Amino acid sequence: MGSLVQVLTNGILLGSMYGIAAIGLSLIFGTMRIIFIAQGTMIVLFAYLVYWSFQKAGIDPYLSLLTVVPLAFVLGLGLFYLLFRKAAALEDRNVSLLLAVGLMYLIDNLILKAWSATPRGLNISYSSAMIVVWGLRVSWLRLALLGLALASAFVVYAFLKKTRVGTAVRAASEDMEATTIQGINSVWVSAISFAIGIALAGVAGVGMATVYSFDYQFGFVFAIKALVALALGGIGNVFGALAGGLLLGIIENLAAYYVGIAWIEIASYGVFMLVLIFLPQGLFGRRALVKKV
Amino acid sequence: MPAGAPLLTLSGVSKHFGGLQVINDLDFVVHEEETVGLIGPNGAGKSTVFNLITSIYQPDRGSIKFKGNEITGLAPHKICHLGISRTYQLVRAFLKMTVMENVMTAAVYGAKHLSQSPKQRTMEALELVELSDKRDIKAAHLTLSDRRLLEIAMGLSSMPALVLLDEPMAGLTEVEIQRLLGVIGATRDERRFSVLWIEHKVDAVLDFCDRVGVLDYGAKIADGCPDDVACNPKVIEAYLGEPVA
Repeated sequence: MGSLVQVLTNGILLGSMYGIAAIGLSLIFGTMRIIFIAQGTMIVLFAYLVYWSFQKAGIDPYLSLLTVVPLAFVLGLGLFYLLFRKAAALEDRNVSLLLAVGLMYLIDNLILKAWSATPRGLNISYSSAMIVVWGLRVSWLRLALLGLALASAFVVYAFLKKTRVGTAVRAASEDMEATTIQGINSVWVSAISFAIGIALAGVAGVGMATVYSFDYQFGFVFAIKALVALALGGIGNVFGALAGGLLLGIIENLAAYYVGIAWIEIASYGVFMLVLIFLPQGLFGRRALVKKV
Repeated sequence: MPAGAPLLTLSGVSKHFGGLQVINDLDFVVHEEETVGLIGPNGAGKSTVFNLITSIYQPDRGSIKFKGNEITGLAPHKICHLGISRTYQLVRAFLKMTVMENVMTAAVYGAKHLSQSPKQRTMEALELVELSDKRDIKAAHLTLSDRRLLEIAMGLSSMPALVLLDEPMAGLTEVEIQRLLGVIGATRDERRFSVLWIEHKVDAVLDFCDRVGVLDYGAKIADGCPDDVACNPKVIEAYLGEPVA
């Protein structure tokens, strides 16, 4: 019993990374109508920046949230206006999707050039610090991941619900044409939600740098995991995306513990397909939002 | 009603999709404080005219002027800022948001540099369409008739000079139609904006409008005061087919 609780706890803590990435995917999907496949690579890029600033300047990874997240936001705005501005206006979403694929491989290879193919991981003074609660051993760094995920979800939720810009983003994710007719600049509102999605990749990058070993190819796999989390949670719902991430973490850890490490991927993609077949609106999405044709 | 200065002017506007000429060399004017109907059989190109005015589509040829300035090719949100608001036949309010959030969004982004705050304009617009007491209800839970009024309130909140109505009576009951006409008539008289009204059903438009234009196969076949248009043989033919004898 004790070990089951430990497995569940580990699952939740690691799944929070998927959750942060899935919230970003959900926001970007809302306005651009594509799965932003380069999201994982962006996370890896920011993980390298965190790694680099720790190695070169000794900056604590959590302190670098203050620089990496604003940097990610600005980079997101820049990427949108540079790459996606024209493509986002086209009816054919494939152009945007292909641009994202190109961007993913471009950044992968820039990372390879800059940091070589050697996997990297941070070794900070508190890397192995543990906290023991009711017999559960929990690493501080993994607990911090859950904190990051919860904070991200609440901030994004409050932004969407309580601010005027957030309301415009919600309007645009319902109906872009009607949004422009009401006076909202479609390029601007798409750029904002894209930039927030990339800022979340910055948050996840900090998390990745502290607990994962990562290399230049890790991004694609991570983006697919975020996509699975999004499908589990149901698209267009911040807390659903987070919950989907946590659930994926739990599934992976259960599979590893009870069946074997080799089954992690098989279990997560198996569940992914089952959910898409039987619950296409996700476990937490509202049924009415998926129109039957 | 005597017509004021031209507010919206379409000259020689054409639009085709593939091999289909949807709008053919259309000239049309809406004057200040004028209520104009645009009628025609299904597929005559009426909604395309709205999509051209609001810049959702770009015309192949011709020019569209608003308050004397060329607006052809401007981004749709800028057309809204200039003072043109629009409703859709299939209402496109934001269903997951409350009534208040819908109108607030339109008020905040729909117009710039107005003396009244977005909040004031929102409250006033809700008052005008009599939806104040439903402001915290999600749009998805409104009746079709209330959704139409909501979309009109969204348009009014940006203090437009021209309101485009796309078949506002479609799918409503007789009672709801009377209520809608009452609201539109009262706000028009108070705010003194112009109305361009697309309608498939002819009777209401003939009663309500100062002037009526008729489209058939993308071309204007009549334009005049309602009584003359109703008796125009070309119009009767467009609606009923060619006379037998």
